[in-house]
Amino acid sequence: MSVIDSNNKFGVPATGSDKNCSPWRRDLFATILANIDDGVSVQDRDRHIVYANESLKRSFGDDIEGRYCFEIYHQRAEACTDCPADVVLKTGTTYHTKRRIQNSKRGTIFGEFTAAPLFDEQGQIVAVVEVVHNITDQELGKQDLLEEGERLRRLAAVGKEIASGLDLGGILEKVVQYATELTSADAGTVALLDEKNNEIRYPYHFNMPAKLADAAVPKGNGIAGLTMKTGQPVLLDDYPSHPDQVPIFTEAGVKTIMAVPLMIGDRPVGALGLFGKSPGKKFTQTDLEMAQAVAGQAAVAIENANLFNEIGNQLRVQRELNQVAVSITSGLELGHVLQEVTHHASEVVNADSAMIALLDEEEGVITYPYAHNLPQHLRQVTGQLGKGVAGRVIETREPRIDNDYSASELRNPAFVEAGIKSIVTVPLMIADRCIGAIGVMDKGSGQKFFEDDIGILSIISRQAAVAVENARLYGKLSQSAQLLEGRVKERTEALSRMYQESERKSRELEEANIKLREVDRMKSEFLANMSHELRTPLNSIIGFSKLVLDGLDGEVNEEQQKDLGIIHANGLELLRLIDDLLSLAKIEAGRIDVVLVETPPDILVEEAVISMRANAGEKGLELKHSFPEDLHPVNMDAGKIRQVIVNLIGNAIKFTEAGTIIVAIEQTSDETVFSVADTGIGISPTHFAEIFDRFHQEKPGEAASAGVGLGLAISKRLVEMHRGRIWVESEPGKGSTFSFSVPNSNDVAN
Amino acid sequence: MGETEKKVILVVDDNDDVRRLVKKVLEMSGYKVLEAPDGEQALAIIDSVVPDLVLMDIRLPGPYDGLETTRRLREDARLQRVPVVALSASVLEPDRQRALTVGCNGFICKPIDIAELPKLVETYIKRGAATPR
Repeated sequence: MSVIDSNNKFGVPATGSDKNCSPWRRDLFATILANIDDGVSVQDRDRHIVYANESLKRSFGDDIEGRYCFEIYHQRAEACTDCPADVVLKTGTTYHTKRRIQNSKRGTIFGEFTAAPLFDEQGQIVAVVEVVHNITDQELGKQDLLEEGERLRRLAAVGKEIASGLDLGGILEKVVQYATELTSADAGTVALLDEKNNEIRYPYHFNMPAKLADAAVPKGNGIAGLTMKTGQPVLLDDYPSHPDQVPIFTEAGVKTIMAVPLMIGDRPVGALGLFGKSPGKKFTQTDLEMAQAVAGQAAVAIENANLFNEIGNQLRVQRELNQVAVSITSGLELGHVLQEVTHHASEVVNADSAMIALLDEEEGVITYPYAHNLPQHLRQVTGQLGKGVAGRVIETREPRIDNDYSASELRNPAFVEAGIKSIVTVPLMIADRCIGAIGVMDKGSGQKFFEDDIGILSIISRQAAVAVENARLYGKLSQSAQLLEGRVKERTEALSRMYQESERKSRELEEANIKLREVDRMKSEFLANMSHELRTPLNSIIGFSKLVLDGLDGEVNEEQQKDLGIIHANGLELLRLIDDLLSLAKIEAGRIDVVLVETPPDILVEEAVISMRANAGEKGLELKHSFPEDLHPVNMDAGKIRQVIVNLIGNAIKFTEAGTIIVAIEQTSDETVFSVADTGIGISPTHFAEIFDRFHQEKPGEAASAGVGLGLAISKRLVEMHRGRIWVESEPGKGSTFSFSVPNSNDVAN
Repeated sequence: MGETEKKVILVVDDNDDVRRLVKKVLEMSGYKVLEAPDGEQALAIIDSVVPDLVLMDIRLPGPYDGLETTRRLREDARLQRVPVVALSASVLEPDRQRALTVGCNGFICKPIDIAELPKLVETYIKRGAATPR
């Protein structure tokens, strides 16, 4: 059979010369053309397909001969401008090219075209022969590789993105965008599972309507739910018909879908969904692998962010709890503290509002005095023990969650009306008494409460209990304090009165004092004056009588001597009495001071003895002293002690007619004892006490009457001013020994 | 003993009896005795005659008492060495001390022991105007 039919209907002359074609050559061409894979066609100048080989016919149909090439190949109504045949016709040379052909039957074909001119005898191009070698696979493979490379690059970029940030939202937005592009999808979304609320949301999407972010379906619903449930990818060609279709997606035009779960370990946390909006967009294995790779990275990102949030959350909870603790310990006004507690309680679990219920144990009535973010009128509501959520919690002392409050049997209409949707309640315990409850509620943002929330609120409840207890104790203390204050006030007033009284008395005393001082001064002056007044005349009496007695006025006879002697002696006596009187007066008035000086006691005795020796001599008495060696000085007022000794010696002389007077000193570790011993008439023991008494007067008739005077009384006072003692030992007829002691250890400034 | 060789004692006391007593006693002992009833007159006498001893009663009438008179006396350089013995009816120690502070060399209590007086006078004149204790 001939390949080129010289009788073909188009009148195309055979190539070369018929005459020169041997039969087997003609068969060769025919055989080759019929069997090769390549498609061969011949087109005339108008692009009619004049001849098509078997391969071409297989690709494009048996009836392509006679039709336009562009009609067949490209399904176009007119010629393509860059058709290889066109080029050949223009250039008249062979043309090689690679082309892609989109064909609805064959899809995309990549071909290597060789087009060559066919000349007639005149050398005019009459036709173009086109050989097309199918290189679709290679090309596709190449393209695949390129695309793969691009995808990997993109994937790497996504991974980098994820690893570099913790802004989960931002990451997931990018993830869905990249995934969409990498899989050549039309749109995509990341679905996340909200465990708390048991629903699936679609917060991140690419090329989907914005309202998708607000949508939610129950857990397990939708393709996202399906893929999460099974843990396997889901690919659908006809999304709208699928029983699990979600209207919002169908409405958005989703036709095909590829969904892969996002897993952390074996726990699904969401899904990555990629959509084709035309039925032709089918997802390939490569797409699936790409989607899974991205999903894996997204899951990591979610986990990281979750952990971060978890920590952040914990920190936030901790901070809130700290705030509560601070409030509680810094303030003692209970109402204020509990109000703060409601605020913190709602903050710490991210709720809308909170309230504290308190139980009046006596009445069994529950009130709601403290609330955060609730209408004021709710504070007037009262409940009963056992009724209502708070009532139940207080009764059972068990916390509870009511996530559907309006449906709860324990609901209180007032609270339902206020819009409370879910509530978590914990008891408020002090020791083993339940005094109320803390309730935290959500009013409609759809929040549900969990075990964790109970835990956190229990902590706050304990802190609040501490606050209540503190305030109660403080209240008690306050009460006691008030009582005390009341009493203190009373006492203070009493004291004030007393003080005023004593002020008054003080003033009186002051005035009296002033008067006394005046009197004292007058006394002083008086004493000084009297001393002077009394002594001055005596000076004359004593002086002149002595003067005449001594013969200064001329000779004096015996009688004159005697009389003058009497005058003189009495003058002296009077002087002595006056001195004693004045001394005693001074002592009595406390005007005598004892000036203590370290004085050797023996010197004092010697001085006294010397001054009295003459007196003793006049009566023919012997006056001696006797003291041991190594006497040490004693703190005393020398003048006064000497006065005492002189007084005692004087008395001894007076009451002794004959014999010896001995003045002695004895010193012990504690005191120094002076004694004056005489051989006089003695004193009967009955008088021992009396003689030191200033008012004592011996009965007349007793020889001892005259002349003791005030001396002993004064001596006693002087000795006592030294903190010493004075005493007498005597027997009538056997003489007397008068002794007095001075302590060794008197302070220098007495 | 000639008049000019006698030691001169000035006795200053407002009491006539005291002056009389002292004069009699001391003249008997061989002293020349001058008298003054108050401080002013005492100083007037001292102006013309520097005594060998002054017996000065503490209590004197007039603008200045015995202590003041003694003080003024001591201000005079000529009179630094003149012994002044205070006479007083007071037995109070402070008075004694004050006298000594002011410049007196000694202190005699009244009533005066006329037996002791001449000896004391002699002692004080002999001592001269020793520094007061």
